[in-house]
Amino acid sequence: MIDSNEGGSHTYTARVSESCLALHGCAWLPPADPGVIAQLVLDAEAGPEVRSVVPAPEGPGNVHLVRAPVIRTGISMGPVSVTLATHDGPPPVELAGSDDAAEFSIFAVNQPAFIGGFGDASSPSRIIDLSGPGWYRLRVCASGRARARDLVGKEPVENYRIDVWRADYAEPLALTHSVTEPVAARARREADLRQRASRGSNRLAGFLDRSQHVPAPRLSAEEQAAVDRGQDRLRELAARQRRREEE
Amino acid sequence: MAHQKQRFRRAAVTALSTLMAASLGMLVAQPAAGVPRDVPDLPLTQVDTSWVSSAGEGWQVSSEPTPIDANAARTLAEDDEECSAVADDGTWTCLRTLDQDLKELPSLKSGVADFDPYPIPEWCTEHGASGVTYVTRHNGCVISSHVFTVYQIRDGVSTVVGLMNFLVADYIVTSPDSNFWQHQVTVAPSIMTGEAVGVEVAGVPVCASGPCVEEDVDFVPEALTAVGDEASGLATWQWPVVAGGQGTSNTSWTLSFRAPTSQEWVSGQFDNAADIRCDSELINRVAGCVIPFATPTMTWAYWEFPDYGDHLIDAINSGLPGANLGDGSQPLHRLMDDALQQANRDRACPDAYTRPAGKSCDEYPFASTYEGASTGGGTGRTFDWCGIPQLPTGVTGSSGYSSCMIDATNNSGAGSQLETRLYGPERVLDGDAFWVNFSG
Repeated sequence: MIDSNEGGSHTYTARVSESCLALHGCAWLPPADPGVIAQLVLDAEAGPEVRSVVPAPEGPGNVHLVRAPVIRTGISMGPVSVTLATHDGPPPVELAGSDDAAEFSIFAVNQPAFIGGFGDASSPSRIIDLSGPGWYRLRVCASGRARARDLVGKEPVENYRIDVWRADYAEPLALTHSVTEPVAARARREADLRQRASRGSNRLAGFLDRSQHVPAPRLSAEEQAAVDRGQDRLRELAARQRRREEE
Repeated sequence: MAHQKQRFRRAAVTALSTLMAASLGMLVAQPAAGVPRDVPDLPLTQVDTSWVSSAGEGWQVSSEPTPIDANAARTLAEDDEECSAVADDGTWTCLRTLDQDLKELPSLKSGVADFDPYPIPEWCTEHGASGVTYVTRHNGCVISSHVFTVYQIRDGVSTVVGLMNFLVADYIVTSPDSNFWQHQVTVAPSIMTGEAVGVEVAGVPVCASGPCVEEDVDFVPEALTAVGDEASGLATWQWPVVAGGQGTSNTSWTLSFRAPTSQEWVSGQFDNAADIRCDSELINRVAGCVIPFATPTMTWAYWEFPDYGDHLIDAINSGLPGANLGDGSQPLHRLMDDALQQANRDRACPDAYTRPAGKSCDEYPFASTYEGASTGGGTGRTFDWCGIPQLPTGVTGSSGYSSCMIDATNNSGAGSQLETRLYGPERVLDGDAFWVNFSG
């Protein structure tokens, strides 16, 4: 495994699964134009631990962040090389050697944020050295994603340089054409999926007839609120303990 | 359903500091770690905690004095009662669990103490005071019914002079992002008569098994003077984090009762069959705790992932495991070993299968399960719409795996939900069972 720390950047080997590199502890607002960076960044569901209410990036009110970005990899599973660097402001754009590049905003919640595999014990990751919760800009420059597409990687053949700096929310930006899914192609793909969903409704109905539907036990609003408050206390106790141990 | 006995203890004591445990017992399935196994399938899982003893059979409060001498006073107690010593004034008290299946519960306020109480959820109260522990992945709850009896010897004759029927509502709350959990207990009388009015109740949390360390406890001894009064306690426990490790604990409460006219306490240990497993095996998550007896279900929205859904549904309809279809259906079991996962993926989706533009290879059962293509064994299958000519169609049976080319975005999106909605938040560790399902 490569693991170096040079010039403020960390290079390490992360283990991919489900063709994705995860941004743990981060949420985002899905792009207004979903196709703009769709070939490199996928809109996924945020884990419950990162859901966050933040001021709306534009206009009054708050936004409840329940979505998160994941970086799409070429390989379906296996190691990739990641170089992670944090900056005070936007670094110069250097696309030499990159096949695919994009920028987008993430909201880091008040806990360590990681970039790495999804969570297996052997999946190394590195903390993004952030200056607290809030909006950050993230630039991903990738290479080698076409070399073993959808296969199991044995050695890292894909490289991801990830630059992070504090910045207000901004819409995603494609730095190479390759990361954009053209509007027509996206429309065609989504139409195909809608058609499949429509055709498959009988298939689903047949499955639901067979599957045992035991409704998940629901808590009332009052019961849930009490559990939420309790779990907040439990998380705070754990966080306090971790802070004590770090000191 | 396999069961493992869990102890229920009751004790007769003369002081709170000298609690003495006796044992009775009951049951919760506790799968061994690290191996696939059959585990129950309900999101709300019933744990059978019926008593070993035949408490309550034909029992009633006697209004007729029974002549005994003081030395033989204890022989009056029912076989399954635990009693205090006889005080100088001839009073003694006993505790007994009622075996009745009390369906209609009085309203439980769940807390008159200083802490912010958890209301007892309806999915627990709707079963009445059954003595059965119900669990979700994050909560465990049991409501049981008991009787506290005050006896007194007057002129050599033993008489029941007071009685309190009461419920014990016991509720555990865990967090998948904390190595701390809370265990609440509430004592709520449903009948109070005679010398039982004004009974003092005190509670002491107990680490019944496992590496549990008491962090905090809030239980102020409380006098119950009428139906509607409650005594509550809240204990906060922690698992001492072991990096990369896990530990399974069980916590309970010892409750002690003293009649106003008695100097003696009588105590019993009131168990919750929900074992708590804490771990720090997920390197990208902080340590957390769940109740592993509850088998979680991963449900995808079909409209969001129709390609993915079609493959899974076809695969399950062909006989592969993972969906809860009734008798005989088996869940999947999480596999965390990287090399074995890669072997599963390599077998199900080898380089030789052509990926059409915009599509990627989907395998079922998932590479991240023991039922995957390599670790699960068996032969491959596919379906006529999947675009994999190397595999046969029309194959059925529970052995083997299925491969299919589906929309790559659908594949990654649904696959990532397996990680972000199931494996992480429900702390599904190696060998843990889970079900898959779809919603419309």
